[in-house]
Amino acid sequence: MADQVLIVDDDRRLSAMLAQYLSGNGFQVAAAETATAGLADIARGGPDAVVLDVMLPDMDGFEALRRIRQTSDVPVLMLTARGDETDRIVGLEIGADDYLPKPFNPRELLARLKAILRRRNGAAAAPSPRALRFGRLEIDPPSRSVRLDGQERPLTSHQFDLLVALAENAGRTLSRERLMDLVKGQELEAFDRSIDVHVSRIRAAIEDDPKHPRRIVTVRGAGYVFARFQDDES
Amino acid sequence: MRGSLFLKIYLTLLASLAVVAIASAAFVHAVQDRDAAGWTSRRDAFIAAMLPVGGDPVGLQEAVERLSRAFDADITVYDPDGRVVAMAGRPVPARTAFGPRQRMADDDRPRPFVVRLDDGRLVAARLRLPFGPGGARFPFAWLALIAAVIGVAAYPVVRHLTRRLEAVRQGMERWGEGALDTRVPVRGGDEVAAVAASFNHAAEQVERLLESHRALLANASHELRSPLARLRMAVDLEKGLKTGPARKEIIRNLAELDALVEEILLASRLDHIDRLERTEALDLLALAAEEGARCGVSVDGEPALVEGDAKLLTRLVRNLMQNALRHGAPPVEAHVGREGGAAVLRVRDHGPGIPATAGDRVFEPFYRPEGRSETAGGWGLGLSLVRQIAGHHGASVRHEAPAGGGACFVVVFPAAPPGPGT
Repeated sequence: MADQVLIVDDDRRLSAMLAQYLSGNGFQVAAAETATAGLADIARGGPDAVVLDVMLPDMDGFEALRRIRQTSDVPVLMLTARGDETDRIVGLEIGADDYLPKPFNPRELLARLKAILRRRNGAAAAPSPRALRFGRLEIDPPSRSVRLDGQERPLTSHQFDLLVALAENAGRTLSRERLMDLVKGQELEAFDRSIDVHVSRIRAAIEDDPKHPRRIVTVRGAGYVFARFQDDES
Repeated sequence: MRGSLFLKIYLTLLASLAVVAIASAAFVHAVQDRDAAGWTSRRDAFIAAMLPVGGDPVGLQEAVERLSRAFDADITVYDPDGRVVAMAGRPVPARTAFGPRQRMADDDRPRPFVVRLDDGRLVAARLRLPFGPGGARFPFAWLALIAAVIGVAAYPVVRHLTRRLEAVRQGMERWGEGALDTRVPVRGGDEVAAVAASFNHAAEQVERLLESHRALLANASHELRSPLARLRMAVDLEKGLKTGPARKEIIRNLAELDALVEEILLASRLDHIDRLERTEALDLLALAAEEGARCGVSVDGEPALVEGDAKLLTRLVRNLMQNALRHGAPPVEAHVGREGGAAVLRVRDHGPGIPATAGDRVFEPFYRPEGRSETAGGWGLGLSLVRQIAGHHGASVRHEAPAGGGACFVVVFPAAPPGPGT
């Protein structure tokens, strides 16, 4: 049975096109123009996922999300205005599963919608609260797994430790020595000269284009930086 | 400097008081001397007329006694040889050292004077009361007293006036620095109050204008986004546009419009806030490297901590890099270093450089170099945002012409406060 998506947006013309697009891609679509109508629909247990606009006539989208979360854990993708304070939207604070700034590429919306549905449907892949999330990338230390767009990416144990060391220091320049110190705390195996090799393996697994890495960036003469803002979040 | 107006007014007042005092004294002096001379000659003539001529001692004695009673005076008459020929009251010596000049000194005391008659006799007299008008007494002391009173009384008045002017000035200064809700106190109904009221009125007008301007910007940004979002959606739904350069061009232009809307929104938001809400210690090198990877700019240097808003600083770095790529020429290089405790970011390109005449105008919104064509476009809001963001971080931004050509933008951050950890 097709997943049902509820679009809550007061821009009726956009909703109509989005509905058309999503139906063409195998979803059942319902639309609500106000937060109140959307909340009522969710309370009836309708949708499998919600696309929620941040600007609604009767209620701020964040407030609407807070009310949804009081009764339901339905996956929510928020449509925001670019330049809004987006990093607090996702995660525990407000509880959106993902967000996308307007105007968006419909195919990207589709991909993200599928990703959050996949995450919800596969119980094993449910994100741990301790998971580190960077845009489309999810690093889950308890299960020692890495996912891009909800899809598992294989890494060796050393590489995973190296990635966690990098990710936990996102936005900071880490010299190779410092990286080795961080990893040696957990692993006795020497990384030293092979650290660049391991980084390139990790890049092969998690970068969209390993030749032009954006997640793990080399700083000439200084070391590596794990990017804080990935997938054009900023 | 603050009190210079006060000093000017007060000193002018004191100076004019001094001038008036000196002028009055000189005037009084001259007039009194002339008056005194007039009175003295009349007095002498009067005495001569009253005393009988000739050697009738009894008549002389009677006349002297009459005069003495009438004027309440001691009078002694000497003959040309110095012998006393008539006397009323106590004796008065024939020689007195007193001249008219001395009258200022002891005008209050009975002052003897000597009149020489035509026949050689001397009349010495001492009046209990001055003969003739007294005139102003102690004019110097009197003027000094007036000056002192005015000086003391004027001090608080002048001080009060300049204080109020100072309050108005401070208010205007605060307003000029961006505290647009500043109003100055309007007290009383004089010119200072009128100036303050006019200023308040103007400030209110400007604030209201700016406010509506901001609201317009924010609404316009939102309203512009909705059709953009629909357009973007429609492009993907339209089957005829599935492929081809037209689709790419539409999407590219949509993205450019979107970026412009976003920049306008950000600029208006930055105008609106006084200080940053969320700041943290950031590694400027890491930030530049992250952005460099995105833009294809090589980054080197050493880690340098700055206190700031991560997203805004990312935007600053990105705008500098994109500006260099768009208006300069590759290779574009970024360097992060520490200079005397301050973190310094340099973004350099190898393009034609910025003409020296452009100066700071490159940081103005939509700056367009002279002779630049329409399609080449202006510089948009990129550098203007860079300056705004730098300003919110207490950083300065400038451009240099490095040896070897091109342009180099330099952002100097204030020395970061020592934070826990690194």
